[in-house]
Amino acid sequence: MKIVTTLAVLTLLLLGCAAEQPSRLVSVQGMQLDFTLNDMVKRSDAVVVGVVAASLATTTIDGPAPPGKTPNHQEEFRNYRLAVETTFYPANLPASIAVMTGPYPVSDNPNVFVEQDDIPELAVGEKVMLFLARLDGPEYANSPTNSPPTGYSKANWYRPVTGSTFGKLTERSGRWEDTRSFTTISVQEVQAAVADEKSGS
Amino acid sequence: MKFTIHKPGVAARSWFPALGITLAGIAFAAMGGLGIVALGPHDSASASNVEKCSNGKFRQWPNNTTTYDRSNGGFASWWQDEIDAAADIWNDDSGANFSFHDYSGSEHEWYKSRRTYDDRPGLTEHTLIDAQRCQIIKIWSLYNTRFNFTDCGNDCDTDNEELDAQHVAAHEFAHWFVLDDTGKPWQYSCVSFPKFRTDYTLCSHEKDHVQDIYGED
Repeated sequence: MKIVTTLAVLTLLLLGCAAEQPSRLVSVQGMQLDFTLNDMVKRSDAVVVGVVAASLATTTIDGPAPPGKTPNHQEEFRNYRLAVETTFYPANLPASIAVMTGPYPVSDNPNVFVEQDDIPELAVGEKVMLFLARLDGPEYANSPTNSPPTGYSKANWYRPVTGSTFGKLTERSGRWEDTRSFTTISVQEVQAAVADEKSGS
Repeated sequence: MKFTIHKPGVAARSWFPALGITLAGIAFAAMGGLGIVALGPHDSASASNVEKCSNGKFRQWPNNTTTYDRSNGGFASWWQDEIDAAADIWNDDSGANFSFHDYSGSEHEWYKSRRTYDDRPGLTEHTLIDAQRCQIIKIWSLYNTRFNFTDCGNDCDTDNEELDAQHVAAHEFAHWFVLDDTGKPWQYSCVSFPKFRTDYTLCSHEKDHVQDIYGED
């Protein structure tokens, strides 16, 4: 009886320890603005349809944290080669451009899980419509992710503009559908928005 | 990424069957008593399962009140007032038995950060959540200062990325209840919906969500 009691106490202690095992989660939820199609075009240096042809370099930096605090996760920025098939804007664009997506939260701690569902991800082989901003502005000068992938210059290095309604669109029954909001638009609507917002460009 | 939590007592059962059963019984009772959700030796849960929580509940705060600190973020006083006003929207209008309290020294912080590559003006990180208890441990929210925050109310110059600081804070506080704004049934809610406007009226489903978890006021 004494042995049973002792073992039972030990088991409960072990259980207590097991209950404290970290199984923690870092969840990132952002406020995404409700950009209209015209807003998206206005904020873009290029509007294209292309195929994600290859995965290029990935850069990982520390995630955000309040002053004096240690980040609980890192952020990953992924580069891809996009084979451009259709250009709505500008008139001329190279057949191959680099697109950097992110930030995606990541952690190398096996007891910490990270999740985020509001930044679209690209997959090699998929055909997408993207609204792209060039990464050559002075605001990017001091960023740790300020190096285009090998073989590309800042002149052909972009990031997707992302709002709550539009980010990454894929073709569906002759229209283009945002992969998160499921809002659909036509090519004609994109052309009209480009005509509205970029006619003087 | 996946994790596995092994149920204690499995090894003991292989040594001594009768004792193992006894220990398993004690263990089961103890775990139930403590409200711990344990997974079997071959069970695992992905992050998406953790989001729902294995006990079917939403992630929640352990108590009916929590603190926030906006004094360490370098905010001007008017900006701190905007954050407080956003907290009061939830305190006063949710009808729930839950309240936010400003407290400098809280580990749940508001701060500013310039995020050049990020189109999100506000961001909330549930930096730590205890997946077993389905409880929030720590939260940080930030303003992305690549946007121009003011108290512009409904007259924000959105072409110049001007946003109302109170609206963004109210929206981020929605995330403190794990209300989402993408791909969820409450996607097009009022405060949760990220529009260039300052409608501070909480939607019924936002109130319901908080009341369901914490009870009615």
